[in-house]
Amino acid sequence: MNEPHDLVERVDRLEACEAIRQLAARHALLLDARDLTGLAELYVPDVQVPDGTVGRAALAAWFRDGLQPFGVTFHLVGGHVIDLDATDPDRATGSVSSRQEYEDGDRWMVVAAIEEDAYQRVEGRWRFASRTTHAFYGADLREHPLQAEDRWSFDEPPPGLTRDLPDRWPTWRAAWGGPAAEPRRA
Amino acid sequence: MPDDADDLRARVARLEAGAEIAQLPARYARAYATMDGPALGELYAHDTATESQGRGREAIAQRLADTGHGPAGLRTTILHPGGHVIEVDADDPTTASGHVHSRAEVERGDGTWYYQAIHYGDRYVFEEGRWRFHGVRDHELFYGVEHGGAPNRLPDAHWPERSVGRGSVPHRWSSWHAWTDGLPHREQTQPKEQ
Repeated sequence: MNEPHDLVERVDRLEACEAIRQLAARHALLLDARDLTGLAELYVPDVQVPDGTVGRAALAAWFRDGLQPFGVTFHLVGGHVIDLDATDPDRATGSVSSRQEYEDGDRWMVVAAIEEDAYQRVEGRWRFASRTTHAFYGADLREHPLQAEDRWSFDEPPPGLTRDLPDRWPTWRAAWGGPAAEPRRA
Repeated sequence: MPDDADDLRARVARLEAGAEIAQLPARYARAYATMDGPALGELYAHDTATESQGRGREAIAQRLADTGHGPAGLRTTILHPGGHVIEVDADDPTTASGHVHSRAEVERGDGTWYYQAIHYGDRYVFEEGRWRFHGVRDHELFYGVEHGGAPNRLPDAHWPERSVGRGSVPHRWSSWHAWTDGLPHREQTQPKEQ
């Protein structure tokens, strides 16, 4: 019976998308609540940490170190593109538009970013296999984003954030030529 | 095979629950933007209690109407709901809870403009064939700030007494306490009373 089998696969894909959407929402909530143990559990057990270490405890420690300079944070999750792997039902990739705010001493930093994610289903649960955050700018709430040098006025950026949009995209570079951070005065 | 069919039916029901619950913050935002009290009321369980307008959907509609006049009234309300964590209760598939981050922009009746960073703690119930808010939403502020300002060093808003100022989250959360307790000595980020 092909039809019921087909239906199971279709339901499985819908469940995968829903679970992956939940991952992005939980990541923001747990980060803002500084539940870094819970945050690390959203990742695969053998997650590669950017500092070269491996595993959830190491990831939580890396977040802890990187977030210490900051006070209150607010992560607003927007559009979420999800691409399920056509050949491997336990893998997917995605990107998430995100507005992030960081209390940084007497500054209130606003970041417009896109998270680039890989997801993996491990023992029936969808997790982040990796996540990198690519920012358009990071500037004080009261500051024009182009006034900040390289559109990035953090002394020490939050963990995992790189200011490399839109330059990072070959399609953008093809359209505009040079890097976005160059002053565009005549 | 009936077992498979039952299992599949239950899985589709869970997906439908998630999809319907995910609609609620968007419909709530539209009801506030349009000041549509009856539409807002429909989003709630029939016996929802409000703080001072009584119980039920008409009370919810009245609660919205009461915000819509005077110099401090909500003249334009722009709600941008973000991440939505949804947890259907394991022992009762007709109730659920959720967390929603939202960014609000508001024009008061007097033409002033402010922003809020909000956390909603929600309860949901499946009633009369639809998922609805179960009880008024627990609207908590990260902060509210006037246009042109910044939340740093603002005093407590004592929300809902005032719309701007520091709020109750993240400071209310136990994980936040554990976080600040573990930090090296530094200036407290808790708002100071002024």
